[in-house]
Amino acid sequence: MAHPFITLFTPHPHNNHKAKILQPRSIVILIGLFIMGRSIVDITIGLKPGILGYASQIDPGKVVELTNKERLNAGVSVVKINTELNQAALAKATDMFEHNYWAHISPTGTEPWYFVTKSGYNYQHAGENLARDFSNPKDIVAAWMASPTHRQNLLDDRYRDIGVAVMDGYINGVETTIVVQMFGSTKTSIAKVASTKVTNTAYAEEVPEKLIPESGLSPLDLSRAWSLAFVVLILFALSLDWIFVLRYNIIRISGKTWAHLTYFIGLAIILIIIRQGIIL
Amino acid sequence: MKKPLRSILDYLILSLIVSLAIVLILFFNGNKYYQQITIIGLSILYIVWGIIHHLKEKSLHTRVALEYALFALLGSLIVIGLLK
Repeated sequence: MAHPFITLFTPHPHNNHKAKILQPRSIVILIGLFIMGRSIVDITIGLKPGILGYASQIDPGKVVELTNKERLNAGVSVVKINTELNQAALAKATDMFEHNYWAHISPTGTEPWYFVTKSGYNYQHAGENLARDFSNPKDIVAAWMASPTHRQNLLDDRYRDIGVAVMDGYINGVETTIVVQMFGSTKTSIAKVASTKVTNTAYAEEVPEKLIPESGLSPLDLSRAWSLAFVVLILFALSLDWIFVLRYNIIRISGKTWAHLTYFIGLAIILIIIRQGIIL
Repeated sequence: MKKPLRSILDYLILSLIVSLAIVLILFFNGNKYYQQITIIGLSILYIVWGIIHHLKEKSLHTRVALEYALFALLGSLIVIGLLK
């Protein structure tokens, strides 16, 4: 009698020359297990918000610095940190968490410009970029630059000022980090900009230091690990199957192991390169 | 065309499909909707590739088609689950 591990992972006369884990019935079980695992994570998030949280330590100053770096690379003048726009960005982030939404316009119809005006910033031009679930500022700015509309906002030469807010909170029961980037220009700032030298060092005084979040376990990391575990398991079984079929020249009615391997290697690469964050 | 050469060409096409999907995923990073469409497209093409390949080799069987479909379903769920 063959050892169950052998019949589970390698072709053998007892499993009709195909590893049990790669047989249709087992794949159906794997699909069920995957859905079950994901459901447990989702239900946990729904029932006990905060047990699995996502929070990161993003430095708003770094977001400004990287934004200005991109603007300089594009030959556009840098933007200066503005206290009112910082307040507007903070108010927008607070509003999103309070009213549980993720959009430029709130469910009650409040537009981003409401927060800009309310902060006391008398804008002539204004723009807003949003990001959530990113773990570092570099990925945020890279994602904005990769999107034509966000890129246009980020590199708009009309803007002279910037405000950035980073805030942790809960949206649909999931702890997340939202980044609000607001651009603006007033009539006066346009007139003064030619003689303004901008440095980012002032930002540290304007924005309070972010505290390290208490919750370290991210549902996003857990989901990625869960997905990767399944892909690794399948790749392991397929690799063993491929070696055995080649070595023992096994002939059977089956799909091509090399094709399955190609598909799952591709999926493994995709799982690794996928960025979790969303921009809006 | 000789059988091994035809087979190599088939695998080359599959590799190109997978590579294209990876490039598209990179390109659409930050846009989960387009990334989901890319994964669904990749999985459908993978099933189609399997069926055409086995048809050409005269080895297509319901069980074989089911195998490709189930692997595609599992693969799609694994990645789309992450893009929710």
